[in-house]
Amino acid sequence: MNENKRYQLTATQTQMWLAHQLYPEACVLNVVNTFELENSLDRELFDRSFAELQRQLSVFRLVFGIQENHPYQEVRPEPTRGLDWVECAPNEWKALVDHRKTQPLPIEETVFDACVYVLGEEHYVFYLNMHHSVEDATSSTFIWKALWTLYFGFQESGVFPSLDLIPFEQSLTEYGHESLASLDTQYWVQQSAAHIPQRFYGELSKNTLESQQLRYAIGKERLIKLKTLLKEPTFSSFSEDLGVFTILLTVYVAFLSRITQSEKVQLGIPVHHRSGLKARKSPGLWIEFFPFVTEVASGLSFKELYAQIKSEGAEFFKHALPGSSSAEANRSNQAIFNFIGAGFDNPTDWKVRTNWLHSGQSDPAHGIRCHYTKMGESGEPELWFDLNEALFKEDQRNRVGRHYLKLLDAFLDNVEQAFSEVLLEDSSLPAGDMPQVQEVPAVLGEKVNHFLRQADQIALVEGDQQFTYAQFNAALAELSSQLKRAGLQPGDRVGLCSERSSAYVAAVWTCLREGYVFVPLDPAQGAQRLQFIGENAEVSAILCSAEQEEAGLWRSTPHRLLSLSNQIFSSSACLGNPSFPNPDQAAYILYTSGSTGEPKGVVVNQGALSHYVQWAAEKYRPGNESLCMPFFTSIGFDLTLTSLLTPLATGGKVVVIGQKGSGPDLAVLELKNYQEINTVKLTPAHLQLWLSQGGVNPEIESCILGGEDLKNELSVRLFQAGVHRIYNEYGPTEATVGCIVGEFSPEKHREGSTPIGESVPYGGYLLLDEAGVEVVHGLVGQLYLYGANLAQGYWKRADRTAESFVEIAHYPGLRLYKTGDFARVNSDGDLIYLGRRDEQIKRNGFRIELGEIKSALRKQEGLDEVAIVYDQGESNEEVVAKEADTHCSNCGLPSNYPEADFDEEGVCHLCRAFEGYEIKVDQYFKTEDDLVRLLTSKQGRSSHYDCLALLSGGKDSTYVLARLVRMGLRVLAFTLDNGYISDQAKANIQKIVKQLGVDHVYGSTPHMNTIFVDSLHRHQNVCNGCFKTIYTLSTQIALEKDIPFIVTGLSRGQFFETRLTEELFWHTENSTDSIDKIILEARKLYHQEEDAVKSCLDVSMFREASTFEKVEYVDFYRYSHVSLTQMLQFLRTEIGWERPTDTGRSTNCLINQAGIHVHKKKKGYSNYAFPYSWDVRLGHKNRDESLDEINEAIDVTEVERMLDEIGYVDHEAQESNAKLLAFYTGKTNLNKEKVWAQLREVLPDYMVPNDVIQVEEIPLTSRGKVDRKELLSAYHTEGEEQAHAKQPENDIQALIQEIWQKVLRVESPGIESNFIQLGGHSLAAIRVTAQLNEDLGTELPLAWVFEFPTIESYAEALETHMRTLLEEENS
Amino acid sequence: MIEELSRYITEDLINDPDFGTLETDEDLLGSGLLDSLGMMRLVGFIENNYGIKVPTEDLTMENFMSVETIEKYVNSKK
Repeated sequence: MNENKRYQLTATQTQMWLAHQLYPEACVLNVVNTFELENSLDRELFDRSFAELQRQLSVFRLVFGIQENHPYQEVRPEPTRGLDWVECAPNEWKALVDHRKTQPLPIEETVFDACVYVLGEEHYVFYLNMHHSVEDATSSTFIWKALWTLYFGFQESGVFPSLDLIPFEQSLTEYGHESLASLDTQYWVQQSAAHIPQRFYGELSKNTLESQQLRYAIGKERLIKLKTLLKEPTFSSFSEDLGVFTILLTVYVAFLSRITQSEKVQLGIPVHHRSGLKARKSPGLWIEFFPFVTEVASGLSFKELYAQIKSEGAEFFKHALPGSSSAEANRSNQAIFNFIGAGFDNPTDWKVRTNWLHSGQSDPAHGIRCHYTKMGESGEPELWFDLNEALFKEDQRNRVGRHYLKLLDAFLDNVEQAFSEVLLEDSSLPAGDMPQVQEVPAVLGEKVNHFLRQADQIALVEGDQQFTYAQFNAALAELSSQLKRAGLQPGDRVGLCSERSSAYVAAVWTCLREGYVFVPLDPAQGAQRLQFIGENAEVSAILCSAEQEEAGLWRSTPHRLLSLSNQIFSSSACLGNPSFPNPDQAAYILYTSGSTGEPKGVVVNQGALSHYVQWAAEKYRPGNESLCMPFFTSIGFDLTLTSLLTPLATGGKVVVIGQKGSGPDLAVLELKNYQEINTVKLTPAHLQLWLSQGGVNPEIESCILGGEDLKNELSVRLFQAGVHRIYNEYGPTEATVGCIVGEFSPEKHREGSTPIGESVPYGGYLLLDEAGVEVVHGLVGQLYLYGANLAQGYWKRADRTAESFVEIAHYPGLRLYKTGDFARVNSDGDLIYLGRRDEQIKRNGFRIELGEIKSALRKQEGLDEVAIVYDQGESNEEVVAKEADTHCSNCGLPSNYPEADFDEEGVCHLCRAFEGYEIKVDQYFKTEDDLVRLLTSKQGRSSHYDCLALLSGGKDSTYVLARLVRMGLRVLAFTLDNGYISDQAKANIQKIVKQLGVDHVYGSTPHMNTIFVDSLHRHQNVCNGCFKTIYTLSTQIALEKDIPFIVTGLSRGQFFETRLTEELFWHTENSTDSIDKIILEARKLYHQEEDAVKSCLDVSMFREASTFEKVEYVDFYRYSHVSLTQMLQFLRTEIGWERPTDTGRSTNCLINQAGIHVHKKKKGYSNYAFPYSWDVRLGHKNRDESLDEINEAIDVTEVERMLDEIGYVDHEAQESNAKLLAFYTGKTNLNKEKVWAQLREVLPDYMVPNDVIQVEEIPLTSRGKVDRKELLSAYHTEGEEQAHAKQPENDIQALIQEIWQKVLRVESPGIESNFIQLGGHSLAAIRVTAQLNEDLGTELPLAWVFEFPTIESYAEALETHMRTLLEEENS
Repeated sequence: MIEELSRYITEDLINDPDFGTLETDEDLLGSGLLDSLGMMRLVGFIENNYGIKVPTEDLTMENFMSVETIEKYVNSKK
């Protein structure tokens, strides 16, 4: 048998063979056809014909083997199997086939499976499954024809005719005799080089074999249109098939471009390679995959796109020579287009229905495959889509075919149509007319009157003052008569310039009720800006607080100034019955940042505001209680209106929290002093600060977040802090406070952002793409808003109003506000906010038009060009962690490991210390015999198993499992599926447990990502959280099944890291027993730690001491001293374990590298550096092996994708690294201090750039936009040079520098550097002050950081302060 | 050129020992000797060998019907 000639595999066969090795239990490579015959059949002859078919066609006798690591194929002289005959009822065969087709083929023994189902005397189904490594679609048509040719040939002549087909192995030996010189393999690799992962419908392809095939008939009508079109000269091709191919490919490219929202489209196309006569007589696998890459401009018409694809298709086929493709060229094909021209040829005497069946599985790399074929039941042209089941949820699968056909129909109906403008789905707009503006609620008028009559109830709380509704009523009456006396008419604008106070609340209400249009003037916004607003809004009067009047802001103003103070609450006036303003009258004008440089006033009418307040009062009201909300955010921010208006509209109260002193507004930190608050509205940035500084009042029932993207991670923290109703409210000022609101659900919302949810009932939204077409679910679109909540427009800015409030061709008659915000509906159907994509940014909840800063800066003299860049700190990573400059010459420990200390031989302190207690460590380790004794010591108990072994599928744990089985132990293997185990590792696991004959269970938890995020924050890695999950879930199983031991396969180094700290060995009295006791105690504490594992999983059993008696934990490597080389050899030869290649690393877990990345970023060294140094020290691996594994490359793009997927946000990086930078060119070098001073006059603090930098020129990208990256990289390089800035000259300066360095994460800041310039902000100021106060035992005020913004000036102030304190004490 | 083209078509594309000789006026596609993909490969061969570029609009039956017409076309492009 062994003398059969062996043949090499072709490249495509090799790929198939590899896939078979990867998924030996899978049916992914089964090519299954059924032939249903409704006629009589000579069964014996059919059976003999099939035997003859095998004799004549060697493909049936091919088998595969492996020799010296190379696969080969050989032709067996005898048939490898026969034809099964199964009798069954006519309604049974489909189920039988459905099962049979999923059975894997053992290609070492046979490459096919064949059966005839006998359903009746004249009813049969011939079933043939051939392995893809020897079969393609065309080949299956040959084989079918060959079979019936033999049958009828014999019936006619009594002998089997000789088939005119060429044996596969003969074609193989000649394969490559083509014009080899012209093979251009590099062409194909280059074609696919620029690979980016594609998101189909916004989702990334996920690894699963399971796929569903959906079939669509092209239909007569379309076929006629297609063929007619192909007769036109523009569309004609060499052949009709080539024309159909090109049209369908064009539509597929358009489809992929649409559903990936990418101009770059890449797909794989199998080429049949059967052009020549000979190839058309050769059964076997001939197809070869080639990548097709194209870039499509979105404005192209179908006709233009067709011309492009036709020309690129020609290039494709010119280069697609047999043997020139490779796995490398095809590695990134996530979409496949398979055009099969061949069809089955049937004998005229038989009534045959053929069908090519989908096995139910596909290559996991393929997200979508599209086939054009006539090989289905109908025999007519059909389109089949194979859809990855993890990528497409069941209810979403049918949209693929639907969308493809929409595009195809659009093409056939009108070739001039732009493919990007075809509507893929019907509009989401409510049918019929637009929702009518409902009757405007009377909430601001009559409803409040009702409460105003409830005299004794408290309406406002401010410090130790309280005002009842009666007093509020009096204040409104008083103010209203003051304004009337001043001659104001309804519709006049009234500026409100005040810090937060009860009087301000009364002023807002007065304006609303009397019909004056209020214009908030937040004193923190800078004098010039306020003056601009006052003038621009043409205010008739300004209600101004005493403090602001004193500040002199309005000293020279032409506007009439009226005093606003809480004294109005002492008035004895009483409201009459005012006539309330009309809904379409303006209520307020709120100024927001404008890109032209000038703030623009958004005019919101009474009706829109009433709708909001009415809706919010119902939505946010906690049960039957009335709302009590704090007024603690800027009056210039429309989210503040919720807190001012809603509580009073429910008869509740407003708690006014004013601003203290200069510097940042930290009112959020005072919330804790007010127990009556039950609802808080704030930005995520505020929430962050609140949570990090002491936490949330237990009385708070709801929080409404608004102003910027809310991450679920933050919502989870808030939920855990006891707030169980968390709303995420989206709404630009132009759509009145909030208009799309989602509620956080801890069960549903785990990763990424909290949904912004559903629209308010009096408005709606559309998600439109660039072509103004509604995007389908999953895709990113810009939010366009409509409804009764829209603002009137911008005050006196008809141009801007026309730009932003638009009408779109597809939705005539509908007034839409174009938000500039992007969002998508995720696979759970939730609407997720994705942020802005223009020159507008959000900083700490504030919307900033970079253009406004730019124009402010332009007012400086001597400037040519200006560019403003928001540096979110991505490129600052290197500054954070210190790089290792050396590694221990013995164990490889990096020099940046904390406290690492090397002697003159380059040996670390740990290795040196180890020499002193090595002997004791040796005593701790035991032998495999000891292990067997231990693990069998509890035998005879009821359990079916001696131990539970933790199996990750990696080398260490596989070795453990194999050894345990070899020791004769009864083992249950346990694997945690953390969602990121690679497919190959899973295949390994499947293979191993089968081979070793052990029972195996997977454990999993829906909370895995929460645990990962928590672990990343706590330990800067993913492993700690994962390990703990493994311990927890495996202990649950061990308890359930009464298994006395859990055996872990942690390497020696790893358990040194986790529990065998060296200190254990330092004390001579510590015997092995006492070490075990200490470790057990430590383990009990470990499971009681308050972390995500404890909050998400059931850990109650760890509270019982008996658990630790029932289940003991045994570290295998305490009992085995195997080297890495020995282990790998054992695994290779005895188990057949192979290192997974699909993780790109030495691990079997995909997310592992994300942990390493974060750890390296935060700490400078890999989390494996320490445990591996112990592995080396203990002889488990050598130094080089350890360093190789530690230094494996990390795919940062992939890591970031995964971190995003699990919802990890690096708050520190976000908080302290983000900087607003201004770059300019010009002759003069500006004095930065002066620029800042001037900018602060014009701009609010949050808009003042952290740094102003002169550059030679402003670099531009190829698209003519400012090259942010280039500017930033130049800035950071320069920053390094500035490290030589003036350094501390005394201890106090040095202390301050140390704290700044830690908080701002800037290496050695110069003592003259400005706090803001270095990226400082309010939270950083709190940290700096707190740290100093702790170190010095002082109570320095927070504002100092801003009053003395350099190390030098701060140190001086501090010294003076200390001296004064000393003198006071002495006197 | 005729000889070269015939050899390439016979040996590399048709690649069947049973096939006799190729007539220079034989309809390559129409007779079923080649399919459209084979034709595209032939175009690739021509581009490589005769240093011309065949634009998409020239991919017509008139130009690529037979060895004869191809020769005429290639000469016209040189």
